[in-house]
Amino acid sequence: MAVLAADLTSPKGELQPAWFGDLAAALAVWIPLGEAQAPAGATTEQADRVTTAYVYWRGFKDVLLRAAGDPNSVSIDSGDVSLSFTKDQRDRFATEVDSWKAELDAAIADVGAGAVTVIDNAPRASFSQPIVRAF
Amino acid sequence: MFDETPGGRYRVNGVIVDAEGKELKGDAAKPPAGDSAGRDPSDVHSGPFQDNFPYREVLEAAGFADQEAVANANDEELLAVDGIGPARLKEIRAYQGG
Repeated sequence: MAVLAADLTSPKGELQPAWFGDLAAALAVWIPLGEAQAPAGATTEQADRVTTAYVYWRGFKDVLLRAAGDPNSVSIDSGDVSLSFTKDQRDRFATEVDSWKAELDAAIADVGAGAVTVIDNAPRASFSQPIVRAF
Repeated sequence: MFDETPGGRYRVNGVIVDAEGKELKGDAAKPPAGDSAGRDPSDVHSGPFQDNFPYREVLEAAGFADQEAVANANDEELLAVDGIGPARLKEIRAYQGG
């Protein structure tokens, strides 16, 4: 089963549309790019794991890059709304970026190794609290 | 140390001079209208990247050689660039008046 945008978008997935301007447009590009990351010979499950990790890595990194900065709190304009990120929230995004990059690397490596890994798609506690809306 | 700068000006040991070697100061020492290459600063669709082009470094690293390449790229191509997401794409398009 191929990864769908709805699988990665809240409430089923981890990406909140409010963090982005047009998340659907981005996912329409990022999902095929993620699928292309899977090495030849990957099973469907392995390819989905690679795709999921790639898209989350791109998504969280996109937010982090826009929120990067020295202030303890910074607003980002995602097109329709302005969001304010505290330093702690930015740190959590940085952790997400790192963890999904590691997951992506592992998922790709596991294809060659023939490993099968169950993806942990459970919602993460770190994002259970909504990002503060600035305006 | 001798470097030619736009507008018939020359930099000699850090000092801007005219073609006759006379030191230029203030506005006279500044480049002519346009950026350092003498380009029209309002042209955001062609030629080399303006200095303030959004995410210029990211785009250059991804192989976009100039503003025209970005203008000619569709949204999907830009979103495929690592470091460009929907919001940044919107900024780029807004900069180019799109």
